[in-house]
Amino acid sequence: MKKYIFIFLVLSQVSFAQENNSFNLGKNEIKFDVVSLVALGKIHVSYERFLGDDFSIGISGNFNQSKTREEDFESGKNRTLEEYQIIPFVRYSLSKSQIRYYFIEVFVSANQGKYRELERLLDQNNNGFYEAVQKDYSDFAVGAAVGHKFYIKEKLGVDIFVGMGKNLFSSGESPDIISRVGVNLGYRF
Amino acid sequence: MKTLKYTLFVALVILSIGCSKEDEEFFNAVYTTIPGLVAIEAQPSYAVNDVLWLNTNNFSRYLTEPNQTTLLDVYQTTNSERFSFLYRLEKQVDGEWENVAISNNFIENKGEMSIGNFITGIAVYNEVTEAYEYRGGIVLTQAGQYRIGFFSGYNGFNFDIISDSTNRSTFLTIATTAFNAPNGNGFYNFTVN
Repeated sequence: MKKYIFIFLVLSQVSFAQENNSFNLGKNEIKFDVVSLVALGKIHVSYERFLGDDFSIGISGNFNQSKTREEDFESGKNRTLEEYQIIPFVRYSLSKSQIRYYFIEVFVSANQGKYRELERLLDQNNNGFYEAVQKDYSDFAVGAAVGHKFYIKEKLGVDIFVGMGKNLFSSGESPDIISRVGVNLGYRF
Repeated sequence: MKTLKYTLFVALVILSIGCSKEDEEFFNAVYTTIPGLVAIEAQPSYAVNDVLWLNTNNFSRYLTEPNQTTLLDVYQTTNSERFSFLYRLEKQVDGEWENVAISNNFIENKGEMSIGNFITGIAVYNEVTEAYEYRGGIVLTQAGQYRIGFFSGYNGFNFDIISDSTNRSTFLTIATTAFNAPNGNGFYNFTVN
């Protein structure tokens, strides 16, 4: 995954050397993360609203569809299984260009999923035994990300970003850290 | 270009931190301390060709667990038919303790023994007696000063006896002690005449 992102970041620099002219870009963009679907088995869709030259706000939905991760969870290999995240975000452009720029992002994430924890239970004969019991978690994370964005033909946007967030209310149930990684292909209108 | 480098650097650092595997560490394991699951069948004296036996006669499926008012069902916890532990035979040579190669000088009476640099005793579950049974003997082929030793367990004090759990079953590590070996993981010293 890291390798793909690295290659994409580099290619984006050499493949789309557009001039920083004035563009009449729309204020809205819808996006779909192809890499997350292929590499992580997640459906990751986003909407972004541009408030000016520098700021934008948006919201992402992240839904786990990975059979592999579900199997890992069911087999006990992984302790948690994230089911979905809803991620409102604010982005600030670090570049003057509107067609190709770096950005930083602050986000919050409402996330929910399943986890397992060991419990000492009693059987019908009042003997104790330990078992990994499945439960649900809900948590709320705050985090930040950095990324790069560029446009092809002024309509088709590509943004690549990596970041992380920390769940605030985790006491062993939800993951302490959540990652925010993606390569979005978007349409701006 | 400088911005790109900085961005890449920061991105990769964040990525490497963000993709922490902390959450994917193995969690399905229980550690507890239950003394006296192994016993050395000590004799008043030993002669060449005597057999030194170790057993797990006290290793019932149902064990008294510290700080619990009910017995722990080891079998239901682990679904494991086997528990294993390590020990070694050492001989004093010129004032130093040296590991003794057991080769074929061992006897399996109950359970299984695996002989390598050390001895692995494998207590096998008997559903009739509802106990994990092991009784293994070492044939003492030479006279001398000997000792049986164990290896420090997860708590740094006792030695471990570990379930052979598979799939989704809980792994159970029990820090235990051996009767006749003082101080938990201490040594049982004896002389072969």
